[in-house]
Amino acid sequence: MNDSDASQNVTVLELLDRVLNKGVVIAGDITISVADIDLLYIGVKLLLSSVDTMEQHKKSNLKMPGVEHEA
Amino acid sequence: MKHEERVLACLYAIAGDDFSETLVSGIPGMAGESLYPVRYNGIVAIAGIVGRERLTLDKSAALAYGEILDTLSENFTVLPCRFGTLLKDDDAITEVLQERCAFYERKLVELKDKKEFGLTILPEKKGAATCNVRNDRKAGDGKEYLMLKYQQFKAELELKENTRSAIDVIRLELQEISSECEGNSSANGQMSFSGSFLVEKKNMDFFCSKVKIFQRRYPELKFLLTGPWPPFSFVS
Repeated sequence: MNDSDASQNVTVLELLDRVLNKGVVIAGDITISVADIDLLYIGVKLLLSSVDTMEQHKKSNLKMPGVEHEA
Repeated sequence: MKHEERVLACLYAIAGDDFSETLVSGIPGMAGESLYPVRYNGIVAIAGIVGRERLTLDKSAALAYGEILDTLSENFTVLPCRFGTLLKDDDAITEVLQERCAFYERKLVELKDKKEFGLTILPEKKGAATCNVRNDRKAGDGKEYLMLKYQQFKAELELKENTRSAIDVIRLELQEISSECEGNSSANGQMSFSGSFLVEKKNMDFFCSKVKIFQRRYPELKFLLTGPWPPFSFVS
């Protein structure tokens, strides 16, 4: 992934985080299908988990006792 | 028998007197519907009527929703509503406006001519905190190994402390040029900060240049600055 792709992914994640988790909330008369919400959140979780996996991969490359590392 | 599709009012944003009806009616909604205002006492709800079956609340709809709010907030003060706020009809919207009129009025004044920036600060790399543990040593080098592990632990602790104090300085200085800040530092594994700043439109360039200065001052930190966004994080 190049810098431009990474930066675009961060922007999309930040936008989704705001649109989905923030903003004026109106409780009460809201009508929304549960199935639709599940579908939406699955998409977001997939994006987040790919970032987590990348981070994990980076960490495991950094620390491995008994293996020569860059200073 | 003809099947009648159920329609719902999708609420996009709350606006005040400065809203432009011409602009609003020219923006297509998430499902291509026309947007229109629902008024109550100087407060306006921007909504669109959508057929339940035509509306798919998926990722692309969420991104489109973000774009619509971005366009609205470029032109006048808005309180963005959370994605997927669907009400029965205009009467239900009016009821909401009636109930929360005072709160919306106050928020519209607070957020006038302001935008939100997101900022995440992370250590650039952990390389500075790692130590070389060589693999060409014979057995019996346990003491040296423990010493190296201890040095590594100390280096990580130092990195965490340095990052924490840098984040404190950055946050404090950015707070001085913003109206509000929400967010927190986290020490889970590595020290980091994630938050949002509410910035006056006239100070936006200064805010961004300040972040660039910090980026140069702290090369060991990674800065992820996003925005300007509609003030999503400051309307609850």
